[in-house]
Amino acid sequence: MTTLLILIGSFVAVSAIVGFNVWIGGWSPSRIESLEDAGQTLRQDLLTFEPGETGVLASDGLAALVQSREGRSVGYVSARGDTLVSRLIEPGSVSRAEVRDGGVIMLHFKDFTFPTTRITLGKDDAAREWATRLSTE
Amino acid sequence: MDIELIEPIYIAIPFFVAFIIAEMVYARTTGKARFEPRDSAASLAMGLGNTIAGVLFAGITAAWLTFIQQFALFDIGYVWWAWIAAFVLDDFTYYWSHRWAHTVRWFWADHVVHHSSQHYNLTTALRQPWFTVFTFKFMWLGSWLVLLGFPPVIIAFVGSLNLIYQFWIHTEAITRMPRWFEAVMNTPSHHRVHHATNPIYLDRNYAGVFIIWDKMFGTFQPELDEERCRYGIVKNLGTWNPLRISLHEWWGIAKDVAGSKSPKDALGYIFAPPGWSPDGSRMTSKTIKEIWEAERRDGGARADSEPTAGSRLPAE
Repeated sequence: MTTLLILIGSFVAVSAIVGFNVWIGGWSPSRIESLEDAGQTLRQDLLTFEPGETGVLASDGLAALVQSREGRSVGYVSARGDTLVSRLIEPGSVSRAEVRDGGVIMLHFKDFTFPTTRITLGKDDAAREWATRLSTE
Repeated sequence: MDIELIEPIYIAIPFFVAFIIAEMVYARTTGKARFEPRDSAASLAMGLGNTIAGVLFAGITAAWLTFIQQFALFDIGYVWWAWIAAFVLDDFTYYWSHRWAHTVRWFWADHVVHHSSQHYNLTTALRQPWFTVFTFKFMWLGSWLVLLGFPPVIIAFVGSLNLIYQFWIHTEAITRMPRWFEAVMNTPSHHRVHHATNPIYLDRNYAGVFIIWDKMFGTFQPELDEERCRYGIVKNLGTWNPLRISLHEWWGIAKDVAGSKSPKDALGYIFAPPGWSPDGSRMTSKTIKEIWEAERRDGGARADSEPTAGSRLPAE
């Protein structure tokens, strides 16, 4: 009984702390400011990744795709919460890339820790081009 | 003689809550610590799940320790010095257990959960795994102390004290403790290094309570003012889902083993260091450090000491 009460109390405490965190604020959603920033993040996170000249920054600043210098892979940076997360997209990394209205790519990774992500490019042509490129990576 | 002690962690929980709230207020008012609600929620959910798992599996650990007690070499009992000796020896055991948790993938699959946040605050301390029972840690972690003659009750008690100590060191709010304290004890500064993914900091500072073990066994790395810690894991997670956080490395092991070409490769995927692969195409901590060292020797073309513009936005 004591254990159950402790668990219930803990659940209430967890909910209260998260609610307090939301209420008090103090964090800023992360944004990718430029392709140079995306390239630097990719170099830092992926260590052996050398960003090339080709890339695209999402219109909302929440994602960026950067082709590697040798052209064999694409680096992906995603803004999540107040941090950035990177992935190397190589052959076999993507299960499918769907294009939606408004130049949006829905990217489905074969990655247990990064299942689906949305990239808003704002231009349908660019979205189709990158979706094709990512599907064939 | 048998005694019953209350679980110290249960007493500590209200203090954990109070300190987390205090740190959130500190973060909001000074900008010197970082919280993000979804990250906090994930960490706290992991902590809650860990407590539930602890309750569910506590019986297995207790039964095992009671079983092996009959083979103990000595009967140390509950003499006063036994508590102190057990605390120090348990911390020594923790050091090695923790070191293997970073260097053997089977154990890393469990421990990676604790490192999976890109934040470093008091909620990170509570981001704990749910499936520790898979590691069979309970069979060897405290066993040698029980076989030596320490009562299981003492081992469980000092183990809890060790975990409680480690709560407060998960903060950016404290820069440095007094020099004498930093020399002997594990501190927020030492443990920030442990949670950082900067190549120079990888696989360093495994200590629980006493940092002296790292100094003795060559794994100590002081925090450098010029090298700001970047927290998380080498491949940071793109999810806040606690179940995915809990299972992701176990899932990775299962996939690798299923796709392995020989039993030797399969064993490598299970027991070699995290990042090992038969063809060397992935990166272990050792590889990452070697690449970083080579680049540093070649003139340090990479600016990987500097945070990127998007990753360190100031608080509102």
